[in-house]
Amino acid sequence: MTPLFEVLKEGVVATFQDLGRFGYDDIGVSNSGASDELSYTLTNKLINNPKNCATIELTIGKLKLKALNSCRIAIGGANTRAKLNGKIVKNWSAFPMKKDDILELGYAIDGQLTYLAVEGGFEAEKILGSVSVSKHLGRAIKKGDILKGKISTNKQRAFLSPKIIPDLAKKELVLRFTRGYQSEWFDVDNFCKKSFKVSNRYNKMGYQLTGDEIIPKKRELISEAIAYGAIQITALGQPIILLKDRQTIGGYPKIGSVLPMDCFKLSQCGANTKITFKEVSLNKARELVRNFYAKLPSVR
Amino acid sequence: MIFKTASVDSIVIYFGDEIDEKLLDEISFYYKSLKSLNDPDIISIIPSYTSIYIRYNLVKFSEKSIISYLKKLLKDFDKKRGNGFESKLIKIPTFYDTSVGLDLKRLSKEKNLAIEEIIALHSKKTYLVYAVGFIPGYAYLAKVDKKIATPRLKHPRDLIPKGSLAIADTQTAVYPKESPGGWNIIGRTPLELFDPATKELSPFSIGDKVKFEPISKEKFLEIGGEI
Repeated sequence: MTPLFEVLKEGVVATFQDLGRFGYDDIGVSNSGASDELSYTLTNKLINNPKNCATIELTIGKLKLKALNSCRIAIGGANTRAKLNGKIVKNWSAFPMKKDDILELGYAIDGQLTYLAVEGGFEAEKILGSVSVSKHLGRAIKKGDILKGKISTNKQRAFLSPKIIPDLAKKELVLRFTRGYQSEWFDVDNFCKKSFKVSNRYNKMGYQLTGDEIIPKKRELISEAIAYGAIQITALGQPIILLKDRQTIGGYPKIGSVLPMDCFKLSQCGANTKITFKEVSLNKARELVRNFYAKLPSVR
Repeated sequence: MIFKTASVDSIVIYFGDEIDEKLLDEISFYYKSLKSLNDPDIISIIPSYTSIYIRYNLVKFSEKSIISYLKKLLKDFDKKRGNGFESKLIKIPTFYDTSVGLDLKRLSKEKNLAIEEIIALHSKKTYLVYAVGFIPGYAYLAKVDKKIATPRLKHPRDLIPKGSLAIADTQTAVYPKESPGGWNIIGRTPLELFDPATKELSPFSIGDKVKFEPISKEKFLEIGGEI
C-alpha cells in the first residue's frame, strides 16, 4: 500500500467506515459501519470497488487533502461543493487525482454524511474484523495523517445517473417500521398519527425525536438487546431511533423497528426534520428490504 | 419460551420474565450452544437477563423458518444439557478506597456502615454475570448484599474513570473504559477488562462467576493501577 493523501485540514468528524463489525455484539461491541449504507455503496460503485471497502465518512463536511500519488476517487452522499485544485467537481462522481492535487470539501449543504472512496479502498486498521471507527474503537482522521491505498492511473471519470441519486435534502421523512418487542404496551395506530421532529441530539448512535409524549402501558423492562432501527421510548416519552453505533442492550420499551433503508435516510437528516411513522407488515417489510438489497449491486 | 419480532430480520426469545439464577443457567447454556454452531446465517446472538436476541440472514430465513429452526436446535441442545459449558471464576483485584471510590464515603454515611464493612460485604460475595453490554466488556453482575444496594445517582457523572467498580441497586459492575455513568463508585481495579488486541477481548461471559479481591494501594499501583 502506498501513501495517497496527506490530511491538510481535518473534518468536523471524519472516520473510516465499512459495512460494520459483526460477532462481538454479545460482549457489548456495537456493529457500527457506514450510517448511510446506500450512499456509501453508491459512492463505491462509481469506482467499481469490491464490497466492504474502507471509505471515509465525513459528518457535515470540511476536509482538505493533498494527493501524494496518482489515484482515482469517488465522492457521494451529502454535497460539500468539493473543489479539485480550486475547481468545483460534481458530487456523486469519480475522477482521477495526481500528485500535489488539492481536494477541498466544504460544509455539507443537503445531507449530513459525505462518502469519499478511493479505487481499491483505503488501507485502514482493522479492529475485530472491521475498519469502522466508533466511540470505543479506533480514532477519527486528523490533520497530518497520511492516508494509504492503491495507486491508480485510471483517468476515467464517472457520474451517477441522476435517476438513482438519492434526495438527501429532506424536510420531511416517513419512517416505515414493523411492530416488535413491546408493541402491545403502546397504542401503535395513534403513534402513527403523530408527527415528530429530529431534536438536536442525533449522531451515529441514535436520533432523538421530540413531539407529543408517548405513554406506554408499562415502563419497567428488563434490559435486552436492541435491534438496528429500534424505536425506543425514553422515560420522558420521546422516541429515539437506535442506529449503527447504538449500545447493544438497554432497558427502555420499544414499539418496533424502522426498516434499514429508512434508517439510512434518517442518518442524512438534521435537526427539525419532520418525522412520521408508517407501519408495514413483517411480510411487506421483508419484501421491501430484500428488494432494496437485491437492486443495490446492479446500480451502475 | 416466547418468540417475538424485534425487527425485520431479528427476533427475541424470552425464557422468563424475572431475573433469576436458574434462568441465567438456561440462557447461558443456549447462548453458548448457539454461538458454538458458528452458523453464518445467524448474524447476532445477544443474551441478556431473560432473553436471547437473534439476528438472522433474511435471504436465508423467514421469521417462521428461523423460529422453527431455533426450536429444533434448542431441543437438540437439551439432550446435551448435562455436559454443559464450564463457567469461569474471574478474580478481580480491587483497590477499595475513598481516593478512587468516589461514592464510598457517602455510602458509608447513608447506610450507616463503616467503610471496612462495605468492603467486606461487597468482596465476600461471588457474583454472576447476567449480561455483557452497554459498552464493550461491561458486565452486569448480581446480586449485591441488600445492605449496600443503592439506587443510581440522580445526575449521572460525565466521566467515570476506567476500571471503576460500581453499584446500582443490587447490581455491580466495572467500567472497562472511561465513560459517562450513573452508578455509585466504590473502588477501582487495575485490570484491563476490554482489549481488542487480545484474543479473549473481555474476560466476562454470561454465566461466569466473579469475585472481587481487596488489594492495597501498593499492590494496585504495582499491577499498573492509576489514581
